[in-house]
Amino acid sequence: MTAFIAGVLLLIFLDTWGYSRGAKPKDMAVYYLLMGLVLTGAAVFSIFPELPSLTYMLLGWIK
Amino acid sequence: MKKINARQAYLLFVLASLSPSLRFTGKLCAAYGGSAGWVGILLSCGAFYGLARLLAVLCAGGGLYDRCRRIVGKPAGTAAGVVYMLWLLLLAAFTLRDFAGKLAVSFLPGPPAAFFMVTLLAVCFLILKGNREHFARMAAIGCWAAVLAVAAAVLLTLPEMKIEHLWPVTHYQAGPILRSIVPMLGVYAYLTFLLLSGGEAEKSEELKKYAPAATAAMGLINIAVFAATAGVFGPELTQQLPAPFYMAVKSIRIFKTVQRLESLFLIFWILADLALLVLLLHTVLALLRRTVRTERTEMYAAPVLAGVYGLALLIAGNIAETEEFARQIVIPVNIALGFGAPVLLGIVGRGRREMKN
Repeated sequence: MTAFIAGVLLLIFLDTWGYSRGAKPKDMAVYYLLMGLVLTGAAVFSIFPELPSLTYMLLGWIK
Repeated sequence: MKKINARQAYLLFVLASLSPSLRFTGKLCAAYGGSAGWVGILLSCGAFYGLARLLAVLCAGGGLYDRCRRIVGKPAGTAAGVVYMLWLLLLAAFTLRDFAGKLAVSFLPGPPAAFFMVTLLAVCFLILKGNREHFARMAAIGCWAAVLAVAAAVLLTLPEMKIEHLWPVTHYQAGPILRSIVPMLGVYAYLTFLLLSGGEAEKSEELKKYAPAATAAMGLINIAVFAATAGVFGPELTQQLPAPFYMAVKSIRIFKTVQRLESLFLIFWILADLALLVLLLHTVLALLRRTVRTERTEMYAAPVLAGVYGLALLIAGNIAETEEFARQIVIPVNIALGFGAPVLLGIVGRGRREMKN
């Protein structure tokens, strides 16, 4: 998960660097919102690494 | 986003649908329909043709998403778009996890599943940043090549095939036959997801024109895949194998000398997975563009792919879980969103006089 977060941060840096010129503020806001969601999700699952898989949770919930 | 024509859309759909067809549809049809699963596939072609015609009508004059917003109103239409977007994200994560899991466990043991995921996502990233039309052209050629490869594989498994695994079919099997239609409907739903990305809006007549050919192609491919798996291993064994079609290809021996053709076949399997992933992600980006009203979608490829990767790591712990996810969640939700929703939209549209045809 640490490698994943590091990868996403690197992607943010490179991608933002490429797109920040000429992009509208609204587009950048949506971009940061999406990246924020991804990073928040990654942070939650790195804090709680023992969480069961999504399939396990969904099937348990259905049953 | 660049537009693709109806012929390219159908070829992309046929190529992408090979991915679920080869991975789990055959085994699910064998599980539900037994030796008569192929009759269920044949009957499901009628449902596919009906869906293709309905979508052609719904796409006329503005595209599927715009028509949906006109029929149910802007707030409800936008909410439906968000629901589709979230489901397609989950479906893309499932496709990626299933692809990597089966590749790492069955075909290329050694590297971790995450390695295959990152590699496929890197290719997706380049495709999503590029021109959609170029990918559609590549997919059109890839579709023909993949269909030829599947046909060759099925012909080469003929010596191993046993007719008693597929015949006789009696009226006592009516219930299993009807049940075996269900997994096929889950695959046909990908046509709705493809058309949601827009671009085929002005080509409603062409969508109608190519519908019979697409129906015949889907029927023939899926029956051939079913015959090559259940016909070789029998329906009982087919439903227990993790990748029955791959195992059937593995059993091919030409003149008892040429064997191990599965490595060649794997290329088309990966190509089909790539096409399906790109199809789903293109639609996610198209829906995102409509929802946030922006013209630049390529800049959202990185966060969307990062999200898909995170979800793929989270979605299942092993192959058994991905199979359960396919059986109990993917197929029912696909049928609801890919089949039920367009039919409902058609009925409401006709009631509100929004449908001309």
